[in-house]
Amino acid sequence: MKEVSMDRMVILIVDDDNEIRSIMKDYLTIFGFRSFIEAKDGAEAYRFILDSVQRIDLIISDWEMPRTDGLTLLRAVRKHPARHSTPFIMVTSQQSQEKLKITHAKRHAVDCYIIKPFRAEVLKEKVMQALKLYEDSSKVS
Amino acid sequence: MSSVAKKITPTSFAEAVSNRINGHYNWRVLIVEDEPAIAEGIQNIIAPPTSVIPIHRSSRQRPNPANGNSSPSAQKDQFEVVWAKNPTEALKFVQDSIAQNKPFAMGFFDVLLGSSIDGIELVRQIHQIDPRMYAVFVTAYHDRTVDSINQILGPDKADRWDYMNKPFTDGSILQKARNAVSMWNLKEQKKHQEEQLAEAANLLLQGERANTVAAVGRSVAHEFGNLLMHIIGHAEIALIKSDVTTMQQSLATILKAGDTAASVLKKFKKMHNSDQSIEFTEISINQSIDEAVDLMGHEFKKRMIQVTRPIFHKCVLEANHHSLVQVFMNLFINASHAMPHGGQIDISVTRIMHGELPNSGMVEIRIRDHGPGIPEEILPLVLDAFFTTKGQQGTGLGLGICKEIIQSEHQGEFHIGNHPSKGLEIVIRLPEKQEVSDERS
Repeated sequence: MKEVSMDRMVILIVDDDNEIRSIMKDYLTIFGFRSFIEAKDGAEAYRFILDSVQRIDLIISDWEMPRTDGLTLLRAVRKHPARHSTPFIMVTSQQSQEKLKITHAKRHAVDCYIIKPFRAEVLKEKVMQALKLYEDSSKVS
Repeated sequence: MSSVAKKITPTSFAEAVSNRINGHYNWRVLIVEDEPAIAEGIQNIIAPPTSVIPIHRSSRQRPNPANGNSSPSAQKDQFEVVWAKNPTEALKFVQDSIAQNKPFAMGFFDVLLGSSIDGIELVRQIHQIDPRMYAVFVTAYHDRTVDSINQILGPDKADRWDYMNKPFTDGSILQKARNAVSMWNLKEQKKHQEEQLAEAANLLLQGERANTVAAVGRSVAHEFGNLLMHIIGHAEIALIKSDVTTMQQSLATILKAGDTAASVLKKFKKMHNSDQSIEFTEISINQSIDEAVDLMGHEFKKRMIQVTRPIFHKCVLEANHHSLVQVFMNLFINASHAMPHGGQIDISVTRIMHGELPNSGMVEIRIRDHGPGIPEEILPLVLDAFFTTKGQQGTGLGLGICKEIIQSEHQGEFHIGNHPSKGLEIVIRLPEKQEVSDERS
């Protein structure tokens, strides 16, 4: 992983809220990432997953979306022969069933989860953690 | 589900009832008799002595069956007998029994007590202290007709007394005592069960309400998570980038998110307060429907349900907006449960004339889902309270409440049926004007 520099990494952002996708992109750009692909639900995201030419280094997906939700996407990614180990960050909004959901997500090997709303710092920490980029984190500011 | 609902599991309910039966079966009998020999006689029959005859308050249980006592049925009786020599004593015992929460189930009353009042008048006075007590009058004379006793005690006590003529047989005394005691206990049990049932129904109603609130709560939580993300995200990005254009854009987005959050909150609050006094105002039915659709927005999105409005005439009527929003939400929740894999809800609003009078305009709302519908044979049952096809998911009160709100609160009509092509269709007709002379407070 470390050989790929951050500006060449491709991050797939999945959220049904346009504003949140744009905020996420802004944050990640500030961290030093350059390439993003976006999807507004799990089904749309899955098309990128199936596209074998598409480079995907990290998936950040909302949990609650119409049509195909985040957990379904996570399961599909984990089953995919070439993508099964792609780092996956799950984003959820604060709700009562949060704990249950996290347990669910863990069972399906989610790398990190973030609860909305979150601060840039938290996102950065989780992204670095998921990409195992701790050593490089000093470079990003 | 909600914690309220857990309180009334069938086991705990059954336990309560059986405790009542086993723990508190009332065997207490009062004998009011001025003749000690007769009092003793009655006592010997229903609670055969092992030792001395007790006087006054003494109470005694039946001897242990191991003592080799007679018939098996007699072993079940555990009469606790108290003897009062005169009316004054009897009234005192009854008063004490109520004060100590150890009421008498029944009493044997001599009619002629050699006192200023007779047995019948005594029972009338006793019933003012303890209206539940059963009375059996014992008399040697046929001086009182059933009707005259009934008149003294009042028709509402007609099933609380009986009489027997001297000379009586042992068997008739014992059976009168057993029957009266068992009647007393059955009535108490019934009352207790009715109370429990009423409480259970009440809890279920609260639970149903909580379910609706919870559904909206989830949707509000989701929306707030996103809105807060807009606010925090833009504030942070603006701070980091620090250029005027970004800041302006971010501030605009933040303001918009704040406004949206405020309006979401307002809607949620309104829905929460809807059980306050029912006020009727001129409302637009279209707005009530739109608000319910809005509140269900998250649920619909999650379940991939599309809402169409094939006919949506603007209609104004006198109604309670919050009650109607609750009705529509309940119906939408049902519809979305009927279509777990997505589907469509069609909402139509039209104005119809109901009769010839100019003031008889009605608004007809049709809400149709594209689910499987309800089998014809159970269709007549769905409006009954507690009927549910959803197992644990439903309490069976949703539709009942809807019907109640439409019919009783708004004097409208509520019909349910399968749509000829597919799905379930609810037809609601509401009068445009509420009658003024109704009994609503």
